[in-house]
Amino acid sequence: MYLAALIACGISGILILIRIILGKTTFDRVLAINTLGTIIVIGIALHGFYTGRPEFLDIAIVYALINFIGTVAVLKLFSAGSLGDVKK
Amino acid sequence: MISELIINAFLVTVMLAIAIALLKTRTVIFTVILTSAYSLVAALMFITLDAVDVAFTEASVGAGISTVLFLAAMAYLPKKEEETIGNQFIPALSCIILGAILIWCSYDLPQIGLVSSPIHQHVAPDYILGSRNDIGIPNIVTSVLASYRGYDTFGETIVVFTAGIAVLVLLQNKKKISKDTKSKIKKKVGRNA
Repeated sequence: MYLAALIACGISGILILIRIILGKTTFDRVLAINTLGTIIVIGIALHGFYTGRPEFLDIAIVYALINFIGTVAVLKLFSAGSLGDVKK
Repeated sequence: MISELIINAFLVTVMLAIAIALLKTRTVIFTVILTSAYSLVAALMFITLDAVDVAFTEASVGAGISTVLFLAAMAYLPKKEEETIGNQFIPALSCIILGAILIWCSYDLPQIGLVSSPIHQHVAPDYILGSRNDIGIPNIVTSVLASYRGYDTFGETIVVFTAGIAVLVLLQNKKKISKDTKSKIKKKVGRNA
């Protein structure tokens, strides 16, 4: 069952990767990267349970947090034009 | 065993696809985003290789902090990369030769997880056997970092601290200081006059 879920994760990862590479606007790509991060979080959890060592769930949590920070940073850059104070 | 091989092959393929997309892109922000995605997949690769601490570092530093730092630095850059001019034959040749040498050297590496490889023979057995009695904490990596190799960690911390101080000294606001000193000099001159 875990293997089937892992394969499904892999297939959706490939589809998201195609969207990242072909993506029309940058926002499509940002969204696709965020989704890829979520897929990777699920993949880490599934891989942990598949190999019988679910202790690695901590890393999945770190991933989820980091993924959020990265997306927020990109979107803040779009809305504010910079991170921090750029004097022009 | 086969499934592990398939997972590793899949991850390497994804990383290769991202690397090729990185080569093709000419927008700075897209490069930063793709680098972040590459780090994410690399960290997943480290997890499948059982290097959990490295995966932690890669996820937090490679995918998280460095992406934010790149984005913060990006505000100072032009939006589009300039087209490279000139012959790229020699850089490509040197890259291919370096890669071939590295692949050739990798054949001499011991197999992953082999007990008789040198890395598992030197001091590692002592650390693994004595960690609980010598140090008294269950995590062997932590006991190696903080106790067995404590002086190394201390030195590393000093190096990182020195680098941080150097960056702060280099990046401090020089105009503000010069204005302050100028006004002080003016005041002194005024008093004297």
